[in-house]
Amino acid sequence: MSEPLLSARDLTVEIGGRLVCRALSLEVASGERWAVLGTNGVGKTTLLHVLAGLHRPTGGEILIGGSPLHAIPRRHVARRLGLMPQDSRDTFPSTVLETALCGRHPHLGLWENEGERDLAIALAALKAVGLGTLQHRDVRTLSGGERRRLALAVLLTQDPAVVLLDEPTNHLDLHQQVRMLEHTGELARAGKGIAMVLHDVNLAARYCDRLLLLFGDGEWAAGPREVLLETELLTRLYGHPILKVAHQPWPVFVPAPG
Amino acid sequence: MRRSPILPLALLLALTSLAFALAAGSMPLTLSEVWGGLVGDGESLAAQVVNELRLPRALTAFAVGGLLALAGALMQALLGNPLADPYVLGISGGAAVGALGALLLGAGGAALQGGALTGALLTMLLVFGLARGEGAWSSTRLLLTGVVVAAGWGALISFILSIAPEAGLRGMLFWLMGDLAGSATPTYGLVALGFGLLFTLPLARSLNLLVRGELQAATLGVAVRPLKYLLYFAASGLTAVAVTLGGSIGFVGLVVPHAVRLLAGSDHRLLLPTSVLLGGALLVFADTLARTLIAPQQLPVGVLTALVGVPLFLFLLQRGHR
Repeated sequence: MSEPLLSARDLTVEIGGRLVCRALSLEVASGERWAVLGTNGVGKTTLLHVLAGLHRPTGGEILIGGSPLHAIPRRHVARRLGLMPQDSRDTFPSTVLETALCGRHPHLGLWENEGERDLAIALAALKAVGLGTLQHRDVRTLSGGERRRLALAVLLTQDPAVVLLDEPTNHLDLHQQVRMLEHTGELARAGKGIAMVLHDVNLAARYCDRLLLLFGDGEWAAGPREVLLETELLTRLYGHPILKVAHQPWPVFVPAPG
Repeated sequence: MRRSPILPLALLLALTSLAFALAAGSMPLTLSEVWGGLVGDGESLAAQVVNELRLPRALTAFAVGGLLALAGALMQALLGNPLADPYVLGISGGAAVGALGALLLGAGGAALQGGALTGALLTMLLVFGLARGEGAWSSTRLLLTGVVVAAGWGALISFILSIAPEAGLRGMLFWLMGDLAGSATPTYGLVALGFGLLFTLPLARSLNLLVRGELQAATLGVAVRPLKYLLYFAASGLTAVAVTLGGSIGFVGLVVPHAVRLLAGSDHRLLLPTSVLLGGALLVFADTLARTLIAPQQLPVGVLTALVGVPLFLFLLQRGHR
C-alpha cells in the first residue's frame, strides 16, 4: 500500500482544559472517506483544525505525505491540504467567481495574478457545484445552501490531495446534502483522502467507508464502518439509546423513543 | 483580477485635482501659466506662487489623503469591519493630545508635529500591548481596546480645550478638524505613502482572503498572525504620518475605500492603489476649496472633505443598491 496522505501519530488534543482525543493514531489514504462523529462540543471541529495544522496538538504529530505538518510553510501545506470551514464570512462585496478564484492563492507567486488556466479551473469548479450561471453574483446575495456549494468550489479550485470538510451538509436540504456528499465520492475516486465532520450518522454510514468516533474525555474509536456501526457504540457516542433498523442496502440508525 | 478602467480614471482625477490646486487661489493662473511655472526657470511671480506655495501644499494634501485612504482600507481588512477607519484604534486621539499639548505649551511648527507623532506612536504601542495580552489576538479585542483608548484620549482632548487660553483655542480647533496650512515639505508624506503602497501591494491577494475570515485565509495558505501584525503596524504608522502632517481629517479613510469597492469591487490589488489615488484627489480638491471658498479666510479641510464627500458617497451607495 502506498504512503498515507495524512497521518496522525499518538495525537493528543485538548481544548479549554478538556480532552478531545488521547493518543489518537489514524491514517487517511488516497480514496478513503472518513467521518468524524460525536456529540456537540466534543471537539470534532477542533480536531479537524488540528489535522489541518491550524492549531498545535498537545502531544503527538501529524504527517502529510510523510513529513511533519508543522515544519512545512503554510502556503505549501495549502497546496496539499484544504479545509472547508463550518461557516463562511463575507463582509465586503465580492463576486462568486472572485471567491472561487481564492482557491488558487497557494499556487500563485507573490506578484503573480490569476491566468487563463486558473480561471478555467475556477469556472469548472463552479460548474461542478452547479453555480456556473451565478459567477457574477455578489456572494452576499447567495442563499445558505449556495454559499456551502461555493465553499466546496473554493476547495475544488484549491485542488489539494487531502480534503477536510467541517459539516459539509450544514444549511443544505436533503437533496443538496446528497449532492454534496456525492461530490465527495467523486473526489475519493479521483484519489483524494477525505475526512469530514458529520452530524448525521446515517449519512456517514452511507457515504464514508471509515469512521472516527469521539466519545469525550479523550476516548475514541477508529476503523471501518462495518465494525463501528453498532448500536452499543453509537448509544455510547450520543448518550442516547440508538436502534438499528434493518434496511437494504445499508441499515438505518434511529434514536430510540424516550 | 478583474479588468477595470477605474485605475487610469483615478489617476486622471488625481492629476486634475493637482492642476486645479495649482491654478486656483487669490492669484488665479491659467493652466499654461501653471505649466510654465513648473518647468520654467522659476523667475516669474507665477512660478514662485506655484512652486513655493501651492505645489508643496497640494502634494502634502495628496499624500495625507492617500495615506488616510490606504490606512482605512488596511484597517477595514485587519478588523474585518466595514466601519473601521484609520482613527478607530485611537491613533488620531493620541496624536491630538500630543499636538494640543504642544500648542498649550506655546510650541508650534516642528514641536507640534513632534508632539502629534509621539502621541500617535505611543497609542500604537499602547493598544498593541494591551490587545495582545496572552495568546489570542482577536480582531474584536483589538477593536474594543482601540475604541476605549480613543475614548480616553477624547476626554483628555476636552480637558486640554477647557483649560486652554482663549487665544490658542482657534488653532487647536483647526488642528482637530484638519489643517494643511502649516505644511512645509511634502517629501516625508510622499515617501511614507510610496513605501506604504510598495509594502502592502504584494499582500493584496492575502488581504482578499483575510476579509473572508481568518480560518479561510489560513487554510488557503496565508500566515494569518504575521499578516495581522504587519497590517496593524503599517496602518497605524501610515495614520501617524498623516495625522502629523495634516491634523485629524475625518471621513477620507472611512469612505474612500468603500467608494472604490462600490465602483470596482473588493479586490485589494485594485482597491489599494485606487484608494490612494482617490483619497489623494479628494483631499487636494477639498484643501483647494478650503483655502479659496471664502478667501482670504481659510476653512478647516476636514469640513470640506465631509461636505464634498458625504453627498458623493451617499449617491454611490444608493446607486449600488439599485
